[in-house]
Amino acid sequence: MWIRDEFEKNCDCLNERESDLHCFLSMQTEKARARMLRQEELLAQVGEAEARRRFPLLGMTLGVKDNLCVEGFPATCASKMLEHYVPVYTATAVDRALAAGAILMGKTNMDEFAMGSSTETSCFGPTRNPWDRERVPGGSSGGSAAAVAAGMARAALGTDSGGSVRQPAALCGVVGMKPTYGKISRCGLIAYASSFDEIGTLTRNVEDAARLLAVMEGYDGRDDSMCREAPTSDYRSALAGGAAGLRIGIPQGWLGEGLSEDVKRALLAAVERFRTAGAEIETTELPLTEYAVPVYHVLSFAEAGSNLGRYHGVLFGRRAEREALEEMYDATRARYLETEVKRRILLGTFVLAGGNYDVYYRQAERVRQSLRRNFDRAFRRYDLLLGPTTATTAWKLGEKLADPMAMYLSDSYTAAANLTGLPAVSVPCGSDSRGLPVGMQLIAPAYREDMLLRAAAAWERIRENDA
Amino acid sequence: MSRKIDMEHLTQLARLRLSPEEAEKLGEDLERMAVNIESLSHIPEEWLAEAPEEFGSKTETAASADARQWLRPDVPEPSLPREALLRNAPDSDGEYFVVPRTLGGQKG
Repeated sequence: MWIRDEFEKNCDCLNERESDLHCFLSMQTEKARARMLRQEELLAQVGEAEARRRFPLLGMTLGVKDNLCVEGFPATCASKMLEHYVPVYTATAVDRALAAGAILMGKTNMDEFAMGSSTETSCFGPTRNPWDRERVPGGSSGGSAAAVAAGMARAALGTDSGGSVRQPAALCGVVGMKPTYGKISRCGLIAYASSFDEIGTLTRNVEDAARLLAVMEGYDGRDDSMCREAPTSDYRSALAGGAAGLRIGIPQGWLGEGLSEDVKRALLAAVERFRTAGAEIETTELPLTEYAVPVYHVLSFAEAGSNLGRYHGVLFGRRAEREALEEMYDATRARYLETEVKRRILLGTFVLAGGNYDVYYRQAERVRQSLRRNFDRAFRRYDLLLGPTTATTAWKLGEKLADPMAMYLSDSYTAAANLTGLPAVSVPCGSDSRGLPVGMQLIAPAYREDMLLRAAAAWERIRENDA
Repeated sequence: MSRKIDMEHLTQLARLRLSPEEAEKLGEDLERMAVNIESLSHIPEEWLAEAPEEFGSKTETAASADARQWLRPDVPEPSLPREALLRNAPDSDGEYFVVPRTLGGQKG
């Protein structure tokens, strides 16, 4: 049966490539196999339609980023600090996916505490890009993106605070979506920057992204920052909507300086194909987007500095034994947190320190609000905004690791959707001269995931017809 | 011109003890990052029409600001079992977290 065939294919890919690519930090394939066999039995007993009614994600093998809690299963955040941490509850989103039939294959590699854009800051070694093993998969959800691209799982969950689902999706040639902030519960997501962190999906196609969203969204009393009355839609019918009549704006600044020629060429070719399919597309002004990265740094690092204060050797995680309490705090954090995490905590502490708060934090919050207003205005004229997901295709391992400023620019096109909380998706849109995948980003108004999925699915069909 | 970064003060505030090499490298990185975020101070006022008092005002896209403030019913609910939570603690006596003495010496 198809459930077993798909599962075995995933296992074959795991056996062949995992030792080289290192997408997972822990696996549970035997438990997954047992679950698959139970589903196969159910399928034989009640038939496809009834089995799918009971389990909308029937047979969907799933990788879960290692900053999402699964009860009884390690959640390390790719940090030595949480190397032996075993959550005592399951994240709401994961719980809902598993209850709907998803089969957990394992926990995926990531940048330490989701701080990075290449999965190279993982304390347990980097993940390699399945398209070229000498290159990075992007990050911070690089293990999730690479696992799906390599065929080790049908889908994976990631988290996106500045682009950490969409950017690796682009670099690995898969679909990466983050919905509106507040639509999926953050309960069980180990915090990096709470007003930015969102759970998103990495999938081979747009339909699977829609299926996962439909199952995971909805109010959860365990996350007080959720929107209680978030509108929902019939995503399946939205997928059939087509491109005709869509009004799409391309922020002028996103085609300018910094964008590689390869990515620009693929993107403009995609725009032309979209136009031919009936979408109305034009360039537009979207002021302040050029400040998205510094604003994201000030605010997210400040939140990180605060959130990571909990790792001090008392409640959970590792402890460096010392005679006195304060010495123990300092020694624990010094020993078990790595450089990128320290860098972000320090900058976050700097922008909140006395005398700096107004200059940096408050000003960044002002720009964030103004950027939201500018997006609101743009969405009076357009159904969607379109642009590149990343400036370049996947770069070589180690290339940017020593230069944090170069690495931070990876978020240039993605951070705005986190600052505004808007739903966004990266879909594959061709390749560069080396054959490496290029991603195209679409952004929709708040709670209009239906519009986002409609456009993404329309684009997917255009590509399939061209192939 | 960005503000001077006092690494010693900052590492104390953040409770991050750094080696001299680490402090030098991170200090340089922070100086560069501070220059970068300084660009926010040079944004023309007219581009930032909203006054600070308006923070949190309702806008269509502002998901976090958009969500109304709700209060949970004031009803006690069971929490996670203490035993399970203490299992992840580096040290506990089965009932409490155990930490070193605040003024040196032995554990207390």
